[in-house]
Amino acid sequence: MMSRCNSLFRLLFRSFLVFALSALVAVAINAGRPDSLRWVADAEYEIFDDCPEGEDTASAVTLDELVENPSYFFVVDSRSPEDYAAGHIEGAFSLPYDPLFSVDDKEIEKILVAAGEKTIVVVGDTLTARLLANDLTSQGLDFVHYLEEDGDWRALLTDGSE
Amino acid sequence: MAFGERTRRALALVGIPVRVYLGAVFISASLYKIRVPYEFALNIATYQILPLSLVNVTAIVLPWLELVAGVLLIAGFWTKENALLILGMMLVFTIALTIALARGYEMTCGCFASREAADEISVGTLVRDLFWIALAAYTLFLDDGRYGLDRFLGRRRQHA
Repeated sequence: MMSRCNSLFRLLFRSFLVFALSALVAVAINAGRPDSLRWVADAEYEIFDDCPEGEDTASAVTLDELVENPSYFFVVDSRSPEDYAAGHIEGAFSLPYDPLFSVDDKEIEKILVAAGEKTIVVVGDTLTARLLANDLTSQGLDFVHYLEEDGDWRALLTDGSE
Repeated sequence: MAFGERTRRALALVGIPVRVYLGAVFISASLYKIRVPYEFALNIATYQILPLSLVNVTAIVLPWLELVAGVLLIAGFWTKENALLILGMMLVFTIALTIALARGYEMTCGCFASREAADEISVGTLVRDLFWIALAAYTLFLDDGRYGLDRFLGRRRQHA
């Protein structure tokens, strides 16, 4: 029993020695290097990865194409729920999009069911619409476009109360 | 555990490649962290587990502990002690990884290469870590260190 305790103590003590030796070397090396780290960071680390822009996988459609072929397109509205409630293209599917997060599978399923055979076109501000269209394409949806004009399409908005 | 002499010898023989592999993993893991401590500190911060006051200290000390423990494990010097340290580090890494996975972080593990070069954490990373835990536990509990500096130095001490 005593011998076991001694062995355990020796094991822990020697482990601590290795740790202490490593820490000593680390401190000495860090102190001597030009790009040494401060012991305590003086500011929070910026921990978010840059969002990759990625390649455009979805193509743009013009407002004219959308207006001339309303039955051909299924409109997905990338704006906030408030903007959507204030007015939206008739029959548009609301999908508020935050470019930091991918669209989840349940929403994809809903879009697939609602769009049927139609070609999806994403509306909203052009950048967000483009990012959402790329996101949808990257998740396996075919024939996804985004509306390239920002502003003019708002003439198509109907009262949100309908 | 009471094993016969032949079994202990066999376990120690198997322990040689285990020690060399595990030691090499830790040496290789330490090199990039020692080279770019800021990047490793950033990796630690990304886990969002340690308070900011401990991030840099950990980034400074941990890579050297990995290096020293890895070298000594391969050499078979204080084999069990270094296996214990590696087991401890692996347990900490695995807990951190599990927390990050549970929180759904999309990040690299910061284990070996720079953030740009490394793959994102996944269940595969967790399985890999569990495998290394098993190897460290093997060395700690089943390898008596007879094929390393421990036995060599012990014999010299007996002769002296």
